[in-house]
Amino acid sequence: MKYTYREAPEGINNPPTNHLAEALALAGGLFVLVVGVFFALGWAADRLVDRLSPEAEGRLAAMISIPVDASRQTPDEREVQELLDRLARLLPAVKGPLRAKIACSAEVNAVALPGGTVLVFSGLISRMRSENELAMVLGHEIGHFAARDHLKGLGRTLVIMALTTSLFGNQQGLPASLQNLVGITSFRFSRAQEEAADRVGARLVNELYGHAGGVVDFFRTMDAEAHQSEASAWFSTHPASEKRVELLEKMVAGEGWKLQAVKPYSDRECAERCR
Amino acid sequence: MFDLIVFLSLILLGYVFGRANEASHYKSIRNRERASRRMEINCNKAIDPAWNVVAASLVTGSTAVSVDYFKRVAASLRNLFGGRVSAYETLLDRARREAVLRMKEEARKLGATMVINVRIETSSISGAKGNNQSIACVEVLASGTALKIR
Amino acid sequence: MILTNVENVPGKQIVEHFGLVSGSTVRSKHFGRDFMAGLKNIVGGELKGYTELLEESRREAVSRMVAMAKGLGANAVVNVRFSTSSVAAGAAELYAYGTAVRLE
Repeated sequence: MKYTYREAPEGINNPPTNHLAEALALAGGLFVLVVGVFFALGWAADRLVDRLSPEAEGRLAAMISIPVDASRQTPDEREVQELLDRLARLLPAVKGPLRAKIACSAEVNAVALPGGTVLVFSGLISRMRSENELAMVLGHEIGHFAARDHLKGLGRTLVIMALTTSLFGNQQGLPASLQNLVGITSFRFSRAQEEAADRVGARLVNELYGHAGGVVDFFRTMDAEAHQSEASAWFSTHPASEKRVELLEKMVAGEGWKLQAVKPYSDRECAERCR
Repeated sequence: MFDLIVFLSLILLGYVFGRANEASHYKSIRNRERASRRMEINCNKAIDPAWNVVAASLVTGSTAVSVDYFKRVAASLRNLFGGRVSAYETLLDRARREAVLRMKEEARKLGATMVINVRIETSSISGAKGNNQSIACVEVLASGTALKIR
Repeated sequence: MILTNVENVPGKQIVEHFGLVSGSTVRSKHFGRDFMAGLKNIVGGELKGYTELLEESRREAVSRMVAMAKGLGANAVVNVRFSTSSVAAGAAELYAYGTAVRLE
């Protein structure tokens, strides 16, 4: 028996692989998969929310929201609350009481929170020039409540959270910030949801005042201020204002609504009183 | 956002340095394999009666290795889809050849000319902290009987 | 290619040794299979998915070892041994090694 040394061929146990290309392909595949599952589950969550009873919604909302006590509202908040109540009465689809809350911030934005809270930033209040304009913004948020968009947004966020933790749960992998990023995007309502809420808002304003004057005023203002930093909060959660102005004008013309003088409203000191 | 930057730079760091590291390790492995080519190693137990064995001794060689961050992420992606985990194959190939080379080196120091009954064991020493099971860290141990033949 | 796990190939004469040859592969199953295996763990029994995975990997490891032996000019591998280890969660490594020899 003699021993012969021969060099073993390379690349049998470590076949030449382009690890980068492989990783990118896998990451792409994962992305497609996650997006697919996200939309499928998000769709399922939406359908589920549509079937949710008001009692169940109330219980769900109680778990996730901070109740706003009506007796502890500030005079500014009571003013908004009164307008909100008048609008909500016109739309029976809205279940449960809605609560107005003013948050002290220069940001120009309003948000529909789960549990029936309409959060209005003082920056938005001080920009209002007419009651009709404010009614349009509140009507828009009521539209979100009527369609249960806030719960759908929540449903999608839960889906995303469930997905990311089940895929990357205990493994190192995606950092928390990336998961948050995906979560935040689902807080933004879809364009269709925003447009539907605009329609509800305009209809409510028309019913309340007997004319549709002032429904586009706020979006015009926002359009003009689009470059300002305070306004950026609005655009982070809402689609471009010019499209909405166009859509609303078309709707007003289509419905044959009248446009009459608006009821003046000025609360420029709201932000100062806030402090 | 900060996490994301850290994550991406770790991947980049892992990729660049991991690649360079791997290339230089393979170069060194090939050179040492060539240098130690006269040392015969086999898995057989039998000793040829014709050999005049003057000394026999147990020799071992071991190495513990881990993958770079990029390959770790690539492997965890592969883990979701299943299939050949190429990121770990190179790791184990390197570890094993390194362990065998260290065993040969030990045998050479003893003046042996061959190592018989070679056994190679791989054990996973990942999850030492008990919380991160997916970090691949393996130990390879090569052992055999070194023979000094006159 | 003749493979044995004894010192020689009975009935044949070994004329030349080429030293150690080995083949290895690391494989993982997709997360669906991992999930099913997790469920199966509750009731016990054979994990078909994993049996299949390991069987498939072992074949791959052997074929790599054979390819290496062929590359050295051998026509048999004697004293073949297998080892299995878990490299990371869900990824198993299969390793086969032996002595490459040339028979008469």
